Amino acid sequence: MLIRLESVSKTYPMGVQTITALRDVNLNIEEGAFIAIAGPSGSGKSTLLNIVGLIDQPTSGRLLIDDREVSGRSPDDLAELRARSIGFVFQTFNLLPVLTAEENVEYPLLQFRELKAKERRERVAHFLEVVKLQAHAKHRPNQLSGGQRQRVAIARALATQPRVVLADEPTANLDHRTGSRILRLMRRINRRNGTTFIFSTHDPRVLEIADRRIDLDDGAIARLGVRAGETWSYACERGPRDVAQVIESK
Amino acid sequence: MLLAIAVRNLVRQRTRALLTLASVGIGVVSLILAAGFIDDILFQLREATIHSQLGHFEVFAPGYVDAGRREPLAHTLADSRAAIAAMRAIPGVATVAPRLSFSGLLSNGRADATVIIEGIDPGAEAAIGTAMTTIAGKSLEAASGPAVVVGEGVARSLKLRIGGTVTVLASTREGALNTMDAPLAGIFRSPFKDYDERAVRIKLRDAQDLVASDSVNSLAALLRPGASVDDAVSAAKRALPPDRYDIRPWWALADFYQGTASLYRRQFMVLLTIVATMVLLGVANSVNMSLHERQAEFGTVRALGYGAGAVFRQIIVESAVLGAAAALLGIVLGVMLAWAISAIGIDMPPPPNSDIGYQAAIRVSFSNIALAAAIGVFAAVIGALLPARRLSRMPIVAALRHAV
Repeated sequence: MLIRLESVSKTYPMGVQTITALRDVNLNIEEGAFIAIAGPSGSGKSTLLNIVGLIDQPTSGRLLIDDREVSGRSPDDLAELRARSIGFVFQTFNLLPVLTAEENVEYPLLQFRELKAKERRERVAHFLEVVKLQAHAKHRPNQLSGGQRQRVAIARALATQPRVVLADEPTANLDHRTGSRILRLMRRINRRNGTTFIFSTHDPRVLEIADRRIDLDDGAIARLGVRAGETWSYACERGPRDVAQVIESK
Repeated sequence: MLLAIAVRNLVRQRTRALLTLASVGIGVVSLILAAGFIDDILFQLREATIHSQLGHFEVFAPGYVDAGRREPLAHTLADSRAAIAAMRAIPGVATVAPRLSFSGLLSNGRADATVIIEGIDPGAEAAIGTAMTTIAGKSLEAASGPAVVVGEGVARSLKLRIGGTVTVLASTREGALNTMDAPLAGIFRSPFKDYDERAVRIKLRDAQDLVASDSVNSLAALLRPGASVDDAVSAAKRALPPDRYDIRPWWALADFYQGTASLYRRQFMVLLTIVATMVLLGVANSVNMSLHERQAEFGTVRALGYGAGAVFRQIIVESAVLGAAAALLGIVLGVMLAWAISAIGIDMPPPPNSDIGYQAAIRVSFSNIALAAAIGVFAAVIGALLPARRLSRMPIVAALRHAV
């Protein structure tokens, strides 16, 4: 199992109140999956993605990657794990504004001392080709369209050859056509390379191409769906109340 | 790439970078000007001290400096001719001036005053005493036969006139009172008022006759330009046995210079602290604002796998680059301003213990430039430390929340 969450909860202090963003989440994510995390705003999608992406810590519960627990590891260990195993695609692209497209793709690779400059350049060129942006390699983010920026962000996420790419609302800031292209591109990469993709999304198009879905509601998993042709087959991981929901959905 | 990113970020945040650049640059300029101004004041005081009384170093009989001024004739040099020859042989020594100093009275026939009488070699003394000016009459060197020159204050207090006869009275070593009548050849002014109020100079031979001695109690040495005082003093100490000769560099005899230098150095330290603090606060404020706008960027960098240390380094390198650029700019501006101000000159009033005003300049020295630049870069880096620490430790999720 690539990623496993066991009874993961996350709470935030807000003034005198405590906000529960995730409650008792149990989840198994297999290698090569293409997963959409769906749910209304505030349901905990981003928090779940952040915890899986090791940029946030659960308040309780365990997170395991390759069956090894990562909770409690030092910040430097987590950074190393992020660098080598996880790629991020942000809703707002988050490219470094002073770097060109190719430099943005190269930037996370600079952490890998073992990678020679020639190999690094080849890898950057390859992933720019994958996202069809070779012609824009020398352009800075402000010289690129939204779709092009998101493709640079995808190339950057893929360049480290991570096990899992986390995409937080990747189509939210793109027009319909560009969003569809970006999704098809990620699906193609998933099928070709076996890279695991996990999206948090409101976009029904993401749900259309995902092969698994996790529906969150009020910080808890409401239902887990596995694609069955054009529809979903739901399984429940939350006890009697959720069983009722699953049956109702069906 | 770290450096390239730093430079590009500075260019990208042009206004912010220019503000920091100006804040550090102005600090560097003020330090160069302040340090150069103080250096010039001390340089001129040093030259005045050396070229009016002390020379670069002096040789005394043991005990003269501490007790000899009360009994100068009991502390004369044992073999002054041999000492003069040995000193002249020291590399860098241009002139050696023998002196015999003792206290006595100067009378104009109606009134008298207690004075310090200095028997001097007029030729050698003219070479050393370039900071002394003859304000009336002529110098001792130009006078033929026995003659007396007096400080401005002595002439004023005894209402002396050039050409009038004065009487110099002194006791011989054995206690007999002796006198010398001679015309007043000239009146001189040195940079030191208290010296001018009690100094009377006569030719060395006349002084020796007056106190019935054929010796001297000090030998002042003037060095050629560029010669090292330390080296010359060391050579003199090797050439002259310490049990018979006490050798002192000029600064060990210049209490007024030492006090003034110490005062100015403290003032400069206070100024340096103020400027460094202002630069530091300016940089901290500017860096804080700049980093606040870039929180999401640093959150992204950390999400991509870079540790907090990498973010911290990035911020510090950016500040150091900015500090170095500002220091360079400050150096260019500071040196140009120093040259311009020096070309015009700064009219200074007479310093304490002097009646002579002078024109100050801004001295440009490598050490001052290096100090000012180091303070600029240091302040820029220190100013960035706290913001860098805060931002590098900020939770990634919180930093990413600032993305637009």
